[in-house]
Amino acid sequence: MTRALWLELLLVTAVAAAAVAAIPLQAGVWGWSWDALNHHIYLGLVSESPRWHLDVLAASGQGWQYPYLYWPVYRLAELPIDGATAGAIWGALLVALLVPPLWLLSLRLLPQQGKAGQAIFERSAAVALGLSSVVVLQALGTTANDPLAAVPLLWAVAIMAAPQASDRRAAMAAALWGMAVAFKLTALLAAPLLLVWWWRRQPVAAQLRRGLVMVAAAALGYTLTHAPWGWQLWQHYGNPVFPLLHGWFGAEP
Amino acid sequence: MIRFVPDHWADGLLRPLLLVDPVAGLYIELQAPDGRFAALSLLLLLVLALGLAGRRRRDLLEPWQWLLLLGFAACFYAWTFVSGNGRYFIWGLLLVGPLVVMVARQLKATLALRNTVILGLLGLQLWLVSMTFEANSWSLRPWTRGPGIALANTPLKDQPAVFVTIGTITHSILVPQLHPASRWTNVGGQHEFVPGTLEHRRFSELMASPLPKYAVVRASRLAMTPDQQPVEHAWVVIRRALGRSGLALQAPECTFVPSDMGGSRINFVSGPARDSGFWFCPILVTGQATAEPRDAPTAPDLDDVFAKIEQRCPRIFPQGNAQTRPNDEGVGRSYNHSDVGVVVNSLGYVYFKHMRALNPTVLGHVDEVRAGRFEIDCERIPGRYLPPWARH
Repeated sequence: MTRALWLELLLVTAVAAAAVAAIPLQAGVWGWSWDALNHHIYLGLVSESPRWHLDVLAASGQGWQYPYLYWPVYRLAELPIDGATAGAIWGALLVALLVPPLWLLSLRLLPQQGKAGQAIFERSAAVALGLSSVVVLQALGTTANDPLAAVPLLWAVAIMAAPQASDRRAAMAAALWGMAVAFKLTALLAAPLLLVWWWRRQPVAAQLRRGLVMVAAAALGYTLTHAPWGWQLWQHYGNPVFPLLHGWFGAEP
Repeated sequence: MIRFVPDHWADGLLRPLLLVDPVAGLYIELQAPDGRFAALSLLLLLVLALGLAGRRRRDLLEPWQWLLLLGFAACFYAWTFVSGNGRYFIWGLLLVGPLVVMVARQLKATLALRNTVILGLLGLQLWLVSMTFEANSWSLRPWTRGPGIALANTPLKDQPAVFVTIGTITHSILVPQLHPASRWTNVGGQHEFVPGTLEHRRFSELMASPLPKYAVVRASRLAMTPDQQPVEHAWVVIRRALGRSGLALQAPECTFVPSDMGGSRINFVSGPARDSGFWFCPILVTGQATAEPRDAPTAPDLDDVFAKIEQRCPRIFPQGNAQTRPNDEGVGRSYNHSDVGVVVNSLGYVYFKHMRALNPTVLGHVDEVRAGRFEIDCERIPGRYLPPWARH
């Protein structure tokens, strides 16, 4: 990427982060959702200090969720700052993580056809249109892990969205998808986007090889990401994906 | 759970267009109209219609861009028919922005017109957002001053104890505020400790701990006496929740600890912020649960009545999803799969109600339902999303 493109990315990200940070600052307050009171902060705490030996379903069944994405917001909540400032920091941080892959995808989907100014307009409009959603903006204003869990998926799409296909790109995209699935199981629904990558026209042998590479990379991405939590679930329940597939593992009810 | 899954295949197929509908409960609990998916679909049709006259399809977009659109459409419909919950499609809600611009710039028109279309769509979408967006919509408790998880100073913080939170919300947000060696659990909430399970054994071991034990209850100022104790009805609820788990209050008073986290959104802007908090009530273990286990049958003579309804609409009332429980009106089954409850009231009338519906829908007298003489439109349950053409 050229220096001008880096500068553009920086500016687009900064403007978007400032816009999202302005929402809680304007409201003058942030808030705790049902889920935050119930399990977000607790999961953030156990992600750095496991409490299996102390507590018994202190956050009910939600305490079994993958906890590590809640660590930043737990730490944020411990800072001696007011809610509006915390909300602004949190929103800006999430935007800083979400916009770069979205902008990179725009760069690849919208190759420059005329003047540089036109290309910048199109990319900026694409990013702004992506963020212009009530659901997205609400998610950026809560402690839920959905925006963070979306980051690897966006990178996966940005990486694979290029005219030239390669096994390496496919493997990276698949590994990131596996990571996203470990973060949140609902990322399984993004599988068709990966299959599209696999189906791109090429000889059957190469297709088969790419398919195997993607399966291995996705499994690796999932396993490495889930391992720290899966190991604790395994030690505690005899099932690394507890409470899912519990009958299959034949562990204690 | 089918909260946002379309009730009809056509509703699902048209979901890209229906997302513009500014009603709550379509793909998220809030009002969140979204015109981008409709714009993408219509632009695609327009580009194809205008473009194919003079060009081949591959000249409009690169093959990999077509594949990306195809993959995105597959993901969209997989999401729609499996979950439909917008919170689980954040990545798709973000990706649609660049895709709309990608298709819009293929319009067979002047650059100025294409830019106008792009800016117009952005403006339209921002208008839709501004109509319905409200900051902190999900918030139950305010975070005004810092830090966020502030509990006023109390001697309870100085030594380890066993804390038993009561209620559907576990308030485990309090855990970092008390002594790090304290132990926590929750009763009367979402999870019941069923004898014979690992968690029940661990719960029993926890209750055998020599540490002092406290029930932790949210102290809303609306349920508080002037001397900051629970009102009489709150005492009843606390005793009942503890009794079900073989616990009882040890003293006639609780310690009130102020905290914004016990407050409500009403305190957001002004008003006394420290008048809500949490009660810490000393408890002891009686070892005798006062209530029957939840799997004990309630009103088994009505099982066939519920079965009739479940057989008629298995998607809304799936068998095995709910058990009969007593309630204020009579007995009922609450199907969390679909957010719908069925009640047989004390007068013998059967009705159902979705959590978002204002009024219940009466099916008939219990004898009529038992005989199968009732009507219900399984695809149009009041309270669930109805497309504009299905509304009365």
